Amino acid sequence: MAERMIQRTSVGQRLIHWIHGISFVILGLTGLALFHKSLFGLTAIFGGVDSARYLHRVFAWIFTFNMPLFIAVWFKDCGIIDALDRKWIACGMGGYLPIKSLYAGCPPAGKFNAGQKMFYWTAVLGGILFVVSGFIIMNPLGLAKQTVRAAYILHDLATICTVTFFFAHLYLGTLGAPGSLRAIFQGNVNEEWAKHHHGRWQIG
Amino acid sequence: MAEKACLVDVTKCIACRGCQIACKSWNQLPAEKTTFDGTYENPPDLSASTVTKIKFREVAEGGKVKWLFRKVQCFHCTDAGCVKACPVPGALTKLEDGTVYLDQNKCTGCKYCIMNCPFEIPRWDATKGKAFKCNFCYDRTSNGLPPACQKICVGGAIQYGDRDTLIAYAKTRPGFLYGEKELGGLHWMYLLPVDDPELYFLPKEPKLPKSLIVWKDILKPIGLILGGGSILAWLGYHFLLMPQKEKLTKEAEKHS
Repeated sequence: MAERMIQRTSVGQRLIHWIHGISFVILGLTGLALFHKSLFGLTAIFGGVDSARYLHRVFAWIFTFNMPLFIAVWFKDCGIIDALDRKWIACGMGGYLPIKSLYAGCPPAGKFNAGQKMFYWTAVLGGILFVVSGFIIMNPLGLAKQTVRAAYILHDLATICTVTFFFAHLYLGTLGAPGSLRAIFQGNVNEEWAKHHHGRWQIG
Repeated sequence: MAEKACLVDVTKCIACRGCQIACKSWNQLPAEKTTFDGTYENPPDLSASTVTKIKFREVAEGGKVKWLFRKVQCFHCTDAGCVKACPVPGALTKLEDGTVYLDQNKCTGCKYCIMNCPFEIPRWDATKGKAFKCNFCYDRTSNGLPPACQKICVGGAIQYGDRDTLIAYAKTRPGFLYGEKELGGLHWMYLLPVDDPELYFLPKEPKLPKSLIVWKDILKPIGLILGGGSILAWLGYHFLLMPQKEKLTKEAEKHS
């Protein structure tokens, strides 16, 4: 029996997701190399610390210009956390925290679940924080030292929040929910998968 | 190895600025184009090619003018903000003799040291794209020679030697010793005639920026634990909790 495939993401959403994602990973690897001395070995991937820093600055621009597009194309799907989403969170993240008493009466997730929406907001707020603090760190001479020092802390805070959440994204997009990877490559998912993971999704 | 230091008796300094010249000469640092703006103090500020200079202050005292001089350079702190801030292994190093060495070959030009020095010492070298500061004439001191500025000092204002010996000597002298305890102990210390270090452009209680402590000692370890922990946590989740989650949601689907 042929499975019915359902369109889940647009070409624009996928393209902008991957521009964001690839620049995030390159910025992450080149940046984490200077996050802590124990991670300095990562510079070897890029041929030394100077080229790693150069790449960090090149991809910073790509990341920055892509950011408004990223916010715009994903907002409709992921930007609004409604009352049922909040209930879904209260039910142990829709069962991801498998506690039977909490899960009883849990509403099914919409097209995107509240966890995914929280990741959207982490990416958006973290991204804005990265951009603002990043350009201060890039050109600190002549600025008030307090401003630059605050930027160092904010850039690290954005790193910690987004990188920690990124591993959840990586897991739940692959091993954690088999069948979901199609949504961000081919753009569609099969109907069974949609019903199981996103019962409240009004498939038009 | 005993810690080395310099002790400057500011009352002996005549502001000849021989130290400025000797420093440039030994370290092959170029002269700077400058302007005359009514003072003998020159060049106006430290830079990547002027890593030591004499600062001048004119004070009116009993209707007379008094000229105060102090030699400015890196203090080579024990708790050095620049070393703590630097992200590149080996670019800024605390050496065995207590001095702080900036290796320009390893410096990548991030400017973290410039932004976190409590004394505003490291300066930006725009042509090289790197930071620079006094390295305590490492090439001389590591061969048993005093730093170039000390060697040239005609007034005998600068002494170079074991830090403990210099402190013991300073305590036999009248005046106020600056640098014994500041930031864990400085390796350039000053013997001042008054107990107001700010008169000599020395901050009273120099401290590392609080943000530097938060950034390096709190945020970074938390980041490593959360980031690394998140990878392990999701691997663990996959084998321990995901099967239960699937069971729970599948059951609910059956009932609906």
